[in-house]
Amino acid sequence: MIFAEWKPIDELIERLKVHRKVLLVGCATCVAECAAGGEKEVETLAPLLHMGLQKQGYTVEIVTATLEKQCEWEFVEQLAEQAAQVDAMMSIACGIGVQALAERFDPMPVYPGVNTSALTIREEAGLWTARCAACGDCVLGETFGYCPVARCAKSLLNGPCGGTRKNGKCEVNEDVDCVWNLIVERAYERGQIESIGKLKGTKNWSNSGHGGPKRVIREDLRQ
Amino acid sequence: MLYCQHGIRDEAKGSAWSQEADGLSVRAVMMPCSSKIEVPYVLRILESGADAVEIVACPEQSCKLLTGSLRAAKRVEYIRDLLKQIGYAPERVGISHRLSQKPDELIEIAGARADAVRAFGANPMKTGEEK
Repeated sequence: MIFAEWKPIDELIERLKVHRKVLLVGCATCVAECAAGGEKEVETLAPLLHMGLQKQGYTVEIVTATLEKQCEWEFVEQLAEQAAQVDAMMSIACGIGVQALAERFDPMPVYPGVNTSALTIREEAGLWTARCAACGDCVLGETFGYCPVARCAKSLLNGPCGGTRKNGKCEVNEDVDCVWNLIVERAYERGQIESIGKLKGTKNWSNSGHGGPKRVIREDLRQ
Repeated sequence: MLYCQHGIRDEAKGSAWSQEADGLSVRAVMMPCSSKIEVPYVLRILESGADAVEIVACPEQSCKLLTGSLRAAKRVEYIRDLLKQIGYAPERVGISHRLSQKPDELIEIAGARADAVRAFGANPMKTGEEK
């Protein structure tokens, strides 16, 4: 899922204090799964912002909505009626949702309420870890299902850096597994250790952000 | 005050009741389990002007749903942290672990919470200030 976290409350209050009535919008998809921007978080943040603003002397009404998906125009359109009643919006969806609202409801100011930071899996309740970097050139077929781009602190593609701790953890963070240690262990388990000895060439980063903004056309799907 | 259904002995009080005594105004709502007390519920109560919210949960080893009161305690800590971020006294939200209380005993618990926040003054939603 796309992972996001609330921005500091002070930063949000600073944004909203100049407004009269604000629509706080959540998204029931990825950011709900990571407990940052779903309906529950919208209904948590709204009173918190109202109270924080009021305490600083600003009377700002906060109204709320949570869309099924903030990255689909059909759902975004559902906000039209509420949008006409406010002078600003704050989205706690990922950056895609924020931009969708900003584009649909231009020139209304739309502020991000979260920082979108990773593509993660929920390992257990209250613990998310990065699993994908959207690098555009997937190597998982060669690394036994562990992503060295997202899960190695240095995104190394040809083995560990040499800083792996004796317990198999990363030198950068003792709570994080060295992904190359995991790759090697799984390679041994499958009797295929020789397969990772093969030197990988220069990675093609042009299919990710390094190649400029992504634009994909599928003629078979276009009208 | 939000209390677990097992926190009260006298169910004649019903699921929601109010009582005023010695300058203390208590609005009490019974919940099926303290774990059903979600963060927004508590914040909405404070937003509406309550000076404090007290949660009465089962003792952690006696929770009928095993981990309900543990979950409630974690949420109280989370709410307190949120309150600190907006400059509110975290003491405005508290939790007690009790079973089978008489209504008057619940009022005493609410009174203790009121005493804990008296120094901070009324809810800033009413006054605009936190002492």
